Amino acid sequence: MKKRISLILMICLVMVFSLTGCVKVVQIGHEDEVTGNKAFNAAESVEAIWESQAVPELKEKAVELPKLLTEANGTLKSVASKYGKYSMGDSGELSFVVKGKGQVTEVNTEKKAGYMTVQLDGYNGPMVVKIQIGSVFKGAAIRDSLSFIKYEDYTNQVDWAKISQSIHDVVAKDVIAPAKVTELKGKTIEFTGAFTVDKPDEILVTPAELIVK
Amino acid sequence: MGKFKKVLALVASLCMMMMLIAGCGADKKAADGGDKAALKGGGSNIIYIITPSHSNPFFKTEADAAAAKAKALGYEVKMVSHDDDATKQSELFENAISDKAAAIICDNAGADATVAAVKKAREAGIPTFLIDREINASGVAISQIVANNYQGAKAIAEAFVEKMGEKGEYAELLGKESDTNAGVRSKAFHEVIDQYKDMKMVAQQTANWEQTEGFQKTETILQSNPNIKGIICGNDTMAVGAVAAVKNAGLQGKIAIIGVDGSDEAAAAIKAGDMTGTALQQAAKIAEMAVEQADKYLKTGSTGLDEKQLVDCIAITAKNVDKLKAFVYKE
Repeated sequence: MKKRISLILMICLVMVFSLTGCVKVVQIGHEDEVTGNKAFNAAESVEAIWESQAVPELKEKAVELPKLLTEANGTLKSVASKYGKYSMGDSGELSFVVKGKGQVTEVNTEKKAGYMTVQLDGYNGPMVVKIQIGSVFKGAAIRDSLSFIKYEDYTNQVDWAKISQSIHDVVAKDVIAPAKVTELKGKTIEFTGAFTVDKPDEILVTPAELIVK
Repeated sequence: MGKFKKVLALVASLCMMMMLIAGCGADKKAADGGDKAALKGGGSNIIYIITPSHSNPFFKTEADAAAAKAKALGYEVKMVSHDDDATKQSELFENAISDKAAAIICDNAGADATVAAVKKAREAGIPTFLIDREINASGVAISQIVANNYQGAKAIAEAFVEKMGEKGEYAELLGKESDTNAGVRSKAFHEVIDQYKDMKMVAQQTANWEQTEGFQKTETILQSNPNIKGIICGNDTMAVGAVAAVKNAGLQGKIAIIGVDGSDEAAAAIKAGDMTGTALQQAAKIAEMAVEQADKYLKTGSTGLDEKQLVDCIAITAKNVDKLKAFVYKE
């Protein structure tokens, strides 16, 4: 009887050990190494890809803006499949990645959604070309133009939205601020950026690169 | 005594062995996505459509659109409502499982709470297609088709700022906290509005997507903040409640109000000058997309698309409100 009880106790002991598995000691703040759930940091995510992937891709994909506007001839949808990217496959909001050179004719900081108007070299059509300079940035053209990030990869829309905000923060800090935009009236600039089709008579480019000539 | 020591040694080694075999490193959590084989459905020809209460025209529209599409594709349909109660939602998922549903179309009752229910359906072989509200997990539902709330809210916030002349006091009515959309829309509103230093938010409360609550909260807010010039609302239902409270206070047409959804009530208010605008969520389109994807998935084992899909919203103001009806925008 004693033997049996001891045997049962031994078996229980063995079972307890097999079911407990091992105990891992995890430091606070390093939980993500175990769970895989890292708290989302949009600024870091954007930092990681901006110089190394985003700007190079935008520069490579950029189509000459005068060429785009001339070919489109008032209807940007007509050149969508050739140069643009729709937000929903073949419909939705339409974005283009463009580059150009021209003279700054106006720097408008009256409203928070500031912009510069550019007289584009090699284009004399009716389309007005504006470049966003912040502090408020409209839309999410740059985020929506990048091929290597998509909503699919983020937990929810909140995080996806933060990505665009972080991109705009980087643009404000690394692209707009160094260019000293308030002094640019009358100067010539080269730019690369993205815009989403909105008004029929003007385009608003969010710049990823600005070079003052 | 020797024998006992031997047995003890044996047990001790057994314990250590079991620890090694069963313990450290064993990933008890199923990896995200786990078994990637296509789900075949529960066996019957029924598509379950689970949404919040139909008393809100937005949910009624998406449920009806999904039902119509499903019937057109040859399915039987069961439409049920979880009334924004996660427990009730779990029960409805259980019903779908017992009914051996082919697929579930769901506008869910909570981004975290719903994950378990969708997983359970998955384990029973039933694929879930989420619409309007997302969940905080991937690889569980087959599709998550949501309106691009960020884009829509940002666009209508710009119209709000313009109407307010970029200055003045305003209040905010937030949506239901468990719904990711509430946070996204508020964030998008503020991304635009907060940049204008002369625009000041003096009150912010949740009205849980409800019209009556929207009315009551607005009444109170107006009493404590008589200088308000605008109210931003996470959805049209709360906005319509706010409009009524504003009228009641004798301030009709003097306060700029925006919402999100694109309901017929909001459209009427915009036409009457009581609301500045709304962001249309293409509810019918999203619901139909979900059913089409469910059908394709059941027939071919895949939808051919990403799990998470954003459908653009359309900013609606007095300029284009006549093109809007029953959550459909016709150019």
